[in-house]
Amino acid sequence: MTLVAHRHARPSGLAEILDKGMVIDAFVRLSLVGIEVLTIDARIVVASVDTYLRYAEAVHRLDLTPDGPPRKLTSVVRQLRDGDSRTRAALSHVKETASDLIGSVRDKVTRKHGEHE
Amino acid sequence: MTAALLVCGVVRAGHPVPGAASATDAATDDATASVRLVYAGALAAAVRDLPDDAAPSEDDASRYLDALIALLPGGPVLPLRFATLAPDEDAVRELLDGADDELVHRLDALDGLVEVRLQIDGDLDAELRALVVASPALARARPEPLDDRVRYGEQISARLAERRDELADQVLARLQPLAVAHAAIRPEAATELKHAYLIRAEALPAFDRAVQALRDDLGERYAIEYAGPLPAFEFTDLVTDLAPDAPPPARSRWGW
Repeated sequence: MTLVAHRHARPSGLAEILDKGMVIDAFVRLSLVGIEVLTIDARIVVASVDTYLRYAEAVHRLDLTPDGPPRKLTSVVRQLRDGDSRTRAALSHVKETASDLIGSVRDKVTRKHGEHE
Repeated sequence: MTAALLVCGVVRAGHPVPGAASATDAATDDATASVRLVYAGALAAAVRDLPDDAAPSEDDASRYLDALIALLPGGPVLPLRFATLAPDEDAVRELLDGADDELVHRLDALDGLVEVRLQIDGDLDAELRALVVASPALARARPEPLDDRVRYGEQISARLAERRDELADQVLARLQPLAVAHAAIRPEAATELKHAYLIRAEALPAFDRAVQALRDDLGERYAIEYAGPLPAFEFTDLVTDLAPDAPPPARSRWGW
């Protein structure tokens, strides 16, 4: 049947499902919950600066205005690679947040262990 | 700690054993082959063995999802967060016992309901063209310092998101009446729209038709990915959402 052919059994992206699902409190001390979520959030923060630059580039690539040749994407990439302070700051911020969170998850798990034993 | 069991989800104790019914394809076979149920009172947990000391991998994530999907035709399935690990079956039973009332209650709330997901991707060039036509000043701007450029891109992103939100309103107006609940999922791009709908299983054909009509009306500028039926990943808190002020009610109050 044509209609069913358009519905897939599962979504193509797994990531957004992996940070869903119920967390039973009692499971926390036994599980790795938190680590996966952490990875996903960090990826999104890093992606946003890159995405903004891509949009800026894409508008100019459309070539709807005659003034000035469109910049090549490679020059933006080079700029990023060769030391853009904003990207670096963003990245190091992500790193700090991630290690803070890991630390606090670890503390929590240790505390819970203490309470239960 | 050596974790040996990946706990995928919770079902009722009377849930058909995965793999017992005739599997329809190889993927289902594979997903159910390694999953078993661990029983405790009115509940059962769907678990898979993990090799000792192995961290859950992407393959495990894929099997986790397939296993939960394979369980769905047999009754309500409450997905647990991926990477919920337990050292052994005794621990699983102990923990099911501990959360017994709440889990039974949540399963009752999900009975007969399934989740479907819709992702709509707008064609970036087409969206940008529409933006530029609406505000030509946007295309004339040529910010050079990287910081300005990022800010400029951020503005474009915000405009794209406005267009996306208008589209979201239209989509909701059509699909929400067919659903019990809906959730917007954080999109990864400003041209992207992601919704999850909780619908009655028997409403699936009607929902299929509504999505097809949407596809026809939106045309080729929008790519639509439509997936399901899935366990209610976005709606595990359904009971709390529907009755935020109510104390945990007795099971009999939720006949559906």
